[in-house]
Amino acid sequence: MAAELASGDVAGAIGVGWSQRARGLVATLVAVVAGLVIGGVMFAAAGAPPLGAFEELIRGAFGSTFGIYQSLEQAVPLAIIGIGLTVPFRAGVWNIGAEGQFYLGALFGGIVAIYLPVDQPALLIPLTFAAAMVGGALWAAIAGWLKARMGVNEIVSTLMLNYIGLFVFLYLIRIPFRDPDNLIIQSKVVQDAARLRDLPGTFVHAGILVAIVLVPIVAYLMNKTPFGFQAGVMGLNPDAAETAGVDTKRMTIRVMMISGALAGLAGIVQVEAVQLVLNGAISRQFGFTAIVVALLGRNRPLGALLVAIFLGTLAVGGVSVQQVYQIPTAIILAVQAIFVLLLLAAERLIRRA
Amino acid sequence: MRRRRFAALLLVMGLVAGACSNSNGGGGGQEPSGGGEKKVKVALILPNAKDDFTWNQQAYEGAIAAEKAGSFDLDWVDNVGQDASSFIPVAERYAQEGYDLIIAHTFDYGEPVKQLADQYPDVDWAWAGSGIPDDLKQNVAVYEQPFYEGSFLAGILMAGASKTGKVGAIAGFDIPACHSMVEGFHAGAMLFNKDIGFEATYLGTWFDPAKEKEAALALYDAGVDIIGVCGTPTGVIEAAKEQNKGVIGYVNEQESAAPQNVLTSVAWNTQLTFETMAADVADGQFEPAKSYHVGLADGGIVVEPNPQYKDPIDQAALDLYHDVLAKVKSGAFEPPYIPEGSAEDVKVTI
Amino acid sequence: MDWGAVFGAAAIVPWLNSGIRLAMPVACAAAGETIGQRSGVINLGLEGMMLGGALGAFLLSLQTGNTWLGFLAAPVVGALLALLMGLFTIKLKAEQVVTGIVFVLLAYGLSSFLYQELFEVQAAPPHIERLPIVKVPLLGDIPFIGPILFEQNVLVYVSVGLIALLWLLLFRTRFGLAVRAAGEAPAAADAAGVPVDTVRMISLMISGAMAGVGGALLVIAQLGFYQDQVTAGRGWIAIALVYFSRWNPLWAAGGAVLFGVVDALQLRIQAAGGGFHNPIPFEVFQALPYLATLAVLLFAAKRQRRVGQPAALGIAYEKEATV
Repeated sequence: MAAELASGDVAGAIGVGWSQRARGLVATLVAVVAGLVIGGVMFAAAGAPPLGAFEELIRGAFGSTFGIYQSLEQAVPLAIIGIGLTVPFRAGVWNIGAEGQFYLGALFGGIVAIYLPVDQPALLIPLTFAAAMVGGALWAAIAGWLKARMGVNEIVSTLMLNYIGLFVFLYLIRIPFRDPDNLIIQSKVVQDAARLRDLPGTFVHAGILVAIVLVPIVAYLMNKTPFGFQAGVMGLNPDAAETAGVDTKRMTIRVMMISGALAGLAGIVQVEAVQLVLNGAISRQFGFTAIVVALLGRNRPLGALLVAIFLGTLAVGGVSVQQVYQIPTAIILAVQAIFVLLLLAAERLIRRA
Repeated sequence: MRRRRFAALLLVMGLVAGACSNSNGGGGGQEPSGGGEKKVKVALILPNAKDDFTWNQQAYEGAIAAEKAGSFDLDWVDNVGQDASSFIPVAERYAQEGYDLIIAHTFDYGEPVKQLADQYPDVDWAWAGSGIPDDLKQNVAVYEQPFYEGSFLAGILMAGASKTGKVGAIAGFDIPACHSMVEGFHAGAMLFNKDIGFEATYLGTWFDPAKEKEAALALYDAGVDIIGVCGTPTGVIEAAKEQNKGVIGYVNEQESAAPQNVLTSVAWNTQLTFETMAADVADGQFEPAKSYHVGLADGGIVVEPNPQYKDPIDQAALDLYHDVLAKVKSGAFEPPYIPEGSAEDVKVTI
Repeated sequence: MDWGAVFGAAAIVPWLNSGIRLAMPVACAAAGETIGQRSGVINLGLEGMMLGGALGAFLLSLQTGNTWLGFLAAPVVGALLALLMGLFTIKLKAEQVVTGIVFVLLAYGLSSFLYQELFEVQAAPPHIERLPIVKVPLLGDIPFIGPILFEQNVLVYVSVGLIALLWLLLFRTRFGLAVRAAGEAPAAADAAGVPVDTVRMISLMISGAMAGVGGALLVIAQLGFYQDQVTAGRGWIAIALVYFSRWNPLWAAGGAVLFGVVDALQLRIQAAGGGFHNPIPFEVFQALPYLATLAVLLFAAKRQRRVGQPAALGIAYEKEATV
């Protein structure tokens, strides 16, 4: 028992001979309980009753349809970017530049959404999507090209390009694409025809459909096409892939462009559904959080979607806790992080069981 | 495996939530208003930390002070984030829970405020914007940050205290509030000394004190000896102390941080601003698309020279300062508002 | 626009000095991270460890009134945070990238909360006594180079010493050999008797300690106070620089200096009139350090053969059970 505890195998330590499923369940429960305890201590330190705070966390997210819609809306940008990131991640290409690709995509798509004189949403919105995907893909292609042709490591290039992309964006909305009638630094509002409205009968915007639709598309791409197969092989062992005939250079650029396109798509969806203008605050580090989303979702589109929704519920629940108990937002962020960490631990414990 | 586990987790949480919400009647967190006069319920939404020593902190302190003075009931939240998708859940919850006035304390909240004002017409919304956009709604007001009025006055003092004949400014971003403030320093300084030199640096961030310090050092090395700030001033104040130069506090009164180096502060009386708005809400006077310009003349902006500043201020500059201040208060003069372009292109006559 | 004011003789020394000041926190973190990554562990939690080191050093300095004592807290806090992270990534073999990012979020939340709890909202941040600038006798008098290299904050010398030690550790000691083996071929290293997981944990703790030192530099050498999120994203730049450095602590520090010097340059350009009434938008200047880093990378990539990353980087080592 001691040896198992020492090696982290809690489930094994307390139950010799249990089935794997049971062990997995125990590990998850342990993680949840540990999260509740640690989180409870932190809530108490902040001056809120632990049980009440957790109750509110859940109630805020699930206790009303309003909360559920909000959770879904929070999940949309994370899901779209995250699903996109599963593509390069599976190929072993670390795209840390989704944030910059988000901004560039929002920019390209936003310009179309603001200025293109088209009335019908059925025509305009797809055009904005296309423009956004082009913008994101192009920006990602820079890093892809740098890696494929010049051997520049993509982690550093995409990180640098995040900042550079942001500055490009900020300049463009400060001067050329500024709203002349508004003193605030932002673009004009997107045209009505470009707005993503709420789904009829609900309070969640159509962006959630985009996220949902992407799941089978990307899953098909990665699981059922030669492209997906090649990407997977590349991810496992790039040298072996080359020997086996995979053009890793072209694949690198392609996977970057795909995830860049989706990050850009997330950008325009966010602009058309929530922000309605282009300004410096269209993202809250979505590009980075989406990395967590993709990886926690095991680089699978459906997993990414579910993790995104989970994070969305945490965010909405957290807002509720903050408002009801007036505790600092910082502690809620810490509790959320602890939950995710413990889930990570639980997942590892399951795998080792 | 992971998929199913998450689904199970969500299901479990949902069931628990269902059970909880059934056992617990209405919504939480609302205190019933006490007997007697019903006070306006104000919610203050701050994008960043309430102890940032400037923008957010001043709003927080002003609101708390107003609450203590009995002007209204207050709930606040900080570190919400600058983007709309972080703002909306927070603001919507307040709107649904019957708050009368929701104060959205940054310019980036403008668009979501307009949307939410549509959906919640019975709630009054106040937003820290600049100018009145055309599409402003009935129940939305803008509360200006007329820092430029204060910076104009401060500019006079800067020119009067500068030993090198060159002053400057550091701003986080080139937004109208900062641009007009920076040009305000410039215009005020030129009013006293038309040959004054002036340089400005835009950092590209609001919250990096170490970088601000380096930017301030760069300006000081370039011959500037007093720097005005539109952003977090702590790093600049540190540079001023180190180099024994001058700095102007931003939004809060920062003389206590460096009594000999802070020439003055462009202090913002948020308490007054918020109380003015809340009073209108209480009286039903929250007019459509109103702009609350609680500025120098009303005591919303306060600029006073620091008697402990290390160098004497030229008496002529002090006289000019008093003169301009009096004229602003009497309405005879309005400091120039320069949200774009340069103060050098604007003619100012008192 | 007065270019003379930027590149003139009198301006060079303050500019490069500023560059070194901006660079040192990042240099420490980046150099430390090269050790960790050489052993095969990606530590994306650098930003959090820098923040922890900064806050820890500040609090201890404030509490004891002794900044040197406070400084000691920095590597300790950083190493402890790294130890915690190592429990997840090395012991439990959790995915390293995710763990790192989530750790940073945890650090943001905890540091903000702790600071808010300990200090009331006040007009100015509480201050501590900064560590002094030290001028090296004789060397400091060399014209030009003297004031730049030999008249720096004492912690800069300490950091440079630490970074040099890291290089020595990695390339001239048996431990360093074990580190590199753990990162290149963990199975072979294991077979040869190297305790791979332990070596990785120690390397990770080194990277955490150095990150803490870097964070402390900001607070106790440069600012004299702590503010929420005072590190402002420097940890992410440090991570990028590791890849830039080909996993060599000296080059990582060099990359940080390059970045810092260009950043200082753009500030001085703006101070000389570049940012203000100038047709070149100031965003160009703000982007300069990042563009410069990319340019150097490109240049270096063309000239040198690709130096690969440690083969086992990011992959948790699972012992093949042959008990």
